Amino acid sequence: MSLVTAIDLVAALAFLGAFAAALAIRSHTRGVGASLKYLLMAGVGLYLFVSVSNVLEHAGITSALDAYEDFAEVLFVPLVAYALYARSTSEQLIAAESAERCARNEHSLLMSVVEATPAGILVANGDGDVSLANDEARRIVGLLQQAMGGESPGADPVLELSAIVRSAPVPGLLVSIGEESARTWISVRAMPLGTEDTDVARAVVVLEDVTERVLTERELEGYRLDLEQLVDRRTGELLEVNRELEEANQSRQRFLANMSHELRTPLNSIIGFTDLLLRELPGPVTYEQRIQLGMVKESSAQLLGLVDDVLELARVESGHGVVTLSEIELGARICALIASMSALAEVRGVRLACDHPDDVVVMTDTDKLGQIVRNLVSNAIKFTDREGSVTVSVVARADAVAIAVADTGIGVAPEDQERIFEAFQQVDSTDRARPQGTGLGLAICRELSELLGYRMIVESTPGEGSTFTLLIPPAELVDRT
Amino acid sequence: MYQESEIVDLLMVLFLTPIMAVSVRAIHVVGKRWFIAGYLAIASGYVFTIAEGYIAPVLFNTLEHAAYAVGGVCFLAGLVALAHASRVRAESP
Repeated sequence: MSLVTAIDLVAALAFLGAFAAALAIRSHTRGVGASLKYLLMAGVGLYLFVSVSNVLEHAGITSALDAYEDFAEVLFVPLVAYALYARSTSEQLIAAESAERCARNEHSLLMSVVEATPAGILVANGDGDVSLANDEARRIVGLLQQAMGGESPGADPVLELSAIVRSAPVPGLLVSIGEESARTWISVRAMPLGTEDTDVARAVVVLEDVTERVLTERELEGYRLDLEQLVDRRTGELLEVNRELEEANQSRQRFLANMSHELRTPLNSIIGFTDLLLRELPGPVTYEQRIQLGMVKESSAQLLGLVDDVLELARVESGHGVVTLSEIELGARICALIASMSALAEVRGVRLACDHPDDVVVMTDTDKLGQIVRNLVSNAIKFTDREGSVTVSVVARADAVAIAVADTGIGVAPEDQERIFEAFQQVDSTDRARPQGTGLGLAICRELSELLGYRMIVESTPGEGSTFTLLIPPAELVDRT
Repeated sequence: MYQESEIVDLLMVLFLTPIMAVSVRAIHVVGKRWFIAGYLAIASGYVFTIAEGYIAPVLFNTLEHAAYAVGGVCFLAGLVALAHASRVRAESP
């Protein structure tokens, strides 16, 4: 077998295989698209014929087919050209069908959106001819045409649809139509459509009936104006009330100053002269007179204490209390204060004790803190029976420095534990022998503690005793290490 | 010497190939490159068959037949790929 014969045999087998493969192609399109398979079969078939003819010829079997080879070869190139044309046409057809399907879907989607939207949407040309519109657009166009008709001869020409289209783009135009009593407001917007493929100008026009919104805005504007007037009026009234309150406050201050002078001066005179009488400097007094003079002195002292308390409370409540801060060693200061009250405790037969750590230093107003502690201890002694005890302790905790005044006195019922901090409020006591206070001590304590930024709490069990605790925030602690 | 039909074949190749080259870029067929290679192999066979009449007849005759064989193998490869792709596409849901 010659080389050429062997090559022809390979060619024949290859084209035979190619023909079989072409036969196995599954065409999934019809018409021109399906013809590719048969054109390929024809082209491959032609050269299958040529290669078989060559094999037969070069193998020396027969040359009978050689005469037909030329015809087969002549057909091949036009066949390939037509196959290409068919394939190209098929692809264009498929692309066109796909584009049409896509456009149809998009049109359907667009129409659904247009129909579903509450605003009126239409497409019109410069002559006012409408090519697409939803129901709301048709309704509003009807209103516009009615307004442009004989009923409103002076209507604005801008209401013409053709004018709107020619004016596009219209970013937002508010027009009103109809009589004053039944006026309708329409919001008009227009966007021009591309005019590359047509000489006729077209535009998408969005029409929206905004009557309700406009009426609401006007109503709101009315409310706003009313509100402004009301605020102005109220501001005037408040300014007037404020001025009156300032005057009243000044009157109160004057009254307190006067009362301080007018009450304290005669009371001091009464106490002073009573003391002189008791010392029998003007002359001897009888036993009965001494008792009565003692009652006068005690009552005067009580009244002076009441006046002092009222003045102190008034001063703190009016915000005129001035806080003067200084560093103090809390425990030592408290114990010194307690020591000064030991005489009172002895008279009442009450044990008074002080318990404190050595190293607690705070920044505070010494006088006001002392007044708070003094009032608390005084109260505790007052409401503790003989043989009872009052203990003052200073404890440095993580959340606060606590000054606790604990007694074994009569205690305070839970329902009274808030009330006792109000001015002139006292726990009811049936013990006539117990000294009656003014009911201002705890009120002053609370006002002063709030002025200093402290907190006061009470824990008490009736019949067992009470503990009043003053909590000083840790920020007031001074670190001397 | 040459035959008239061989000249007609060559003219057709020279005239239609540039036109087809423009179209072939726009179409999408699985195994396109195999088909192009097969077409070019057969077209070169047309050149060889004319050349054998003038110079080195044995060589160009062998090249002519070899070109057809290469064309056949290329078409076989392209059509196998196309048939496989059509089957996959037909079986896909």
